[in-house]
Amino acid sequence: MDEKENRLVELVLSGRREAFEPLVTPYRSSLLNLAFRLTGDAEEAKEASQEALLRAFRYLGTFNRRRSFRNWLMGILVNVSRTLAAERRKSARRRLDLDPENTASTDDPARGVGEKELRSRLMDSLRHLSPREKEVFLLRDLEERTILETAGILGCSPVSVRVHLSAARKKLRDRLLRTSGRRGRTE
Amino acid sequence: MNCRRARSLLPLAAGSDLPTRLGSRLAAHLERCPACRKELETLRRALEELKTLAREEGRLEWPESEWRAVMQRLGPAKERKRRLSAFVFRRPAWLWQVSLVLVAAAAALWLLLSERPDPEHSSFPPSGQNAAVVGPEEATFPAPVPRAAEAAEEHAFPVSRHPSRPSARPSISNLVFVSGESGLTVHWVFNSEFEWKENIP
Repeated sequence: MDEKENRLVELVLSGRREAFEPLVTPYRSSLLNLAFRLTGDAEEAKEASQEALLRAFRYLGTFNRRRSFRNWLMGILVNVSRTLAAERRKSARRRLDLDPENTASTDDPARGVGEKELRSRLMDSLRHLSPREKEVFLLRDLEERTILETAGILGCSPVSVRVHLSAARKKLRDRLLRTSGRRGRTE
Repeated sequence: MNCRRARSLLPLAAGSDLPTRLGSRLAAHLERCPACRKELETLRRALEELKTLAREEGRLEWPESEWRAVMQRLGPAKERKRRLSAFVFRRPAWLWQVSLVLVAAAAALWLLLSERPDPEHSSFPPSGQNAAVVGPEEATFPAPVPRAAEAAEEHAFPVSRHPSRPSARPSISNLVFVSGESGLTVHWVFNSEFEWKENIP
């Protein structure tokens, strides 16, 4: 963790909460986009990011300053997103139980997102990964964390990260080949 | 390395995530296997394409008003309040198991110690009370003499003489009289028949 962040953490812990904003502002955009890719929904992404920021502020005292603040923040965000996704699945199942006529797939992460988001090829590909594969791929390949950092953020072993990363890359490659083949045929 | 093994490593090799030793073994295989080389190429291209998509596709941005609202919602930070709980609960699992075994061992030891025979209900007399369990026939004369205070307190009353009802009280009682003027000491020893014999040393 760099000196500036360390000083800001000290300030927040000493009671100056206005120091929290400069501490998290550098991650403002990346946090929201990671949440969006994890949840697949813009509104949920905002909710998850807000909750992650609030938790980070509340539990800043437990942050180990030898670790990276960014990784710690990402770890919180991944946990919050996972919880939100689980709640969404549960409520969708409940809705389906109450209204069996509604046969539309409510598990679809693209549900409720705009047309622009539906068109996103990246989001479309990510939808075919398991939650863990998605987390590992996003952190390692898009956020460019190392294998060890990814393992630290997700609270699992580096071996587990490698296994899920391998599966994710294979699935994504197959998905891209399939979609590009389909597009080639339509053109 | 055969093709099957190489293919299982290719996704990691595409992102340079293989350990050095495995990487060099895979490189040796790729040099002589064009099919695996092609496979690696498709994986690399797919990965690059996804990274480009991530850069190009529209990124979400916080509207300034929402960002302000989040910053306003911040309450007071908890200052290291969870330090202790983090220390207690983030111990490795084996530490909990060892602690559990130690606690069980301590409990077992305590149980063993607490089951030692109670001196009051023991068939062996405690030291200094020989006279209490020695029968009248076996008692030698003069009998062991307890101190005056103890004798007066413990053996002040006659014991049960009924043969079918063994008494928990001692079968012999002693009384000691000491004259304050002359220093004369008189020991009275009673047996189970409550007969007394006088012993003047």
